[in-house]
Amino acid sequence: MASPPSNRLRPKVRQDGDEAELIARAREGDRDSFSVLVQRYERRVVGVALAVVHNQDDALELAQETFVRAFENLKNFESRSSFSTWLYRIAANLSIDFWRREGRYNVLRGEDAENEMRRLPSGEGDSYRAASRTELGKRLKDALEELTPEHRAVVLLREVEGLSYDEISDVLQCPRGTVMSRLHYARNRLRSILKDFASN
Amino acid sequence: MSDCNQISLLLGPFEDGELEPHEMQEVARHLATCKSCEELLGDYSAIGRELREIITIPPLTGFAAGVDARIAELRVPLRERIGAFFEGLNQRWAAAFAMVSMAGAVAVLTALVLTPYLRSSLGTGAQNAPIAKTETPNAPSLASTTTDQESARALTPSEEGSQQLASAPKMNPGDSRTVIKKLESEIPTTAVWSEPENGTTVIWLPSEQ
Repeated sequence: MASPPSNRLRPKVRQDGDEAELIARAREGDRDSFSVLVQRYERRVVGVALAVVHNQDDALELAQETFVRAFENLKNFESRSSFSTWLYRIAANLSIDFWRREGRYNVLRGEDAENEMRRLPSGEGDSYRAASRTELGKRLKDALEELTPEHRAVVLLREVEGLSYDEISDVLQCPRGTVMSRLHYARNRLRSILKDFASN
Repeated sequence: MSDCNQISLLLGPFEDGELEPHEMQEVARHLATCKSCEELLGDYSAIGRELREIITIPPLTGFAAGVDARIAELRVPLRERIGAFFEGLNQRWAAAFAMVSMAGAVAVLTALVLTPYLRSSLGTGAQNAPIAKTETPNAPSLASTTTDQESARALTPSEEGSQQLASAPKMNPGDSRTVIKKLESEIPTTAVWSEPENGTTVIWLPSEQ
């Protein structure tokens, strides 16, 4: 019997009463107030960028760019959508544009490369399981690279960042039905890779 | 029993908790009897676990400071700089205008408050001075001890008129050395004065038209 659907990833809606005030002050050019907002959302914004470009250094750079653009365009922010969704949308757009421009090659740099090196079996007694996991992770990463940025973003925003379908729809500016179909496709694609790996 | 193809489309949303309650029930009932769909759901869960395993957020130490540094380097667009200049100019003009308006309002208020006092004090002085020192030879004849209505009626009941009234002793032909000692009446349209050297009191009334 399948386990009941889990809510562990469901994002908690932030109800900070001071957010509107922080935004208003940042709009007037108060950088300290904006810094508070940056610290509040930096992890998620980096996560959104990482979901698309799949490279930590690029994701950090894009997340910085996201916040700079947000600061420049705060006057255009309307409170109809939440500030976080607006930020994620900027991050997703920047990241998808970046990936289309130059992210087609899976180049590991900086910490990504170091992490990948650490995952590789050293030949001095690494267990088969660890090696196998490393290999599985590598296959999954490769599989993610094969997906379009839109499919990759949908599956990672759901599985890693825990955004709801409506939030993903807001962030990627596509209908909820499109979110569902992309998610279905991406999951099945990744599943087939996992199946191949398991059978080998 | 529901078709596996239809149910498989709902398994992802079922795992994510994004189905309506009746759909959740339908999928749960199907899963209780379908091994392959149950296995598919298990795979979806495994994919999520693996993805969370391989996707790691890098350390964010100094990230906010980096963003702040980049914002500090931003050059304000020309349009905004021009806007800010005119805004500042407007504020300066507004401040100057407010100060001038305030000063004007204070001046008007002061004038309004002080005018009655000034008028009374200046008016008394104006009346007293010529009255006290007037020396008028060849003035037309007046009724000396009683009110001369006809002469008084020829004068207008204005302030100027009252000044004229005040200088009326010029018209006393009888005594070129007449000195008016005291203005008796406080009513501006009526002048009453004594001529001690003649031993008379003169009363001037406005003409009634």
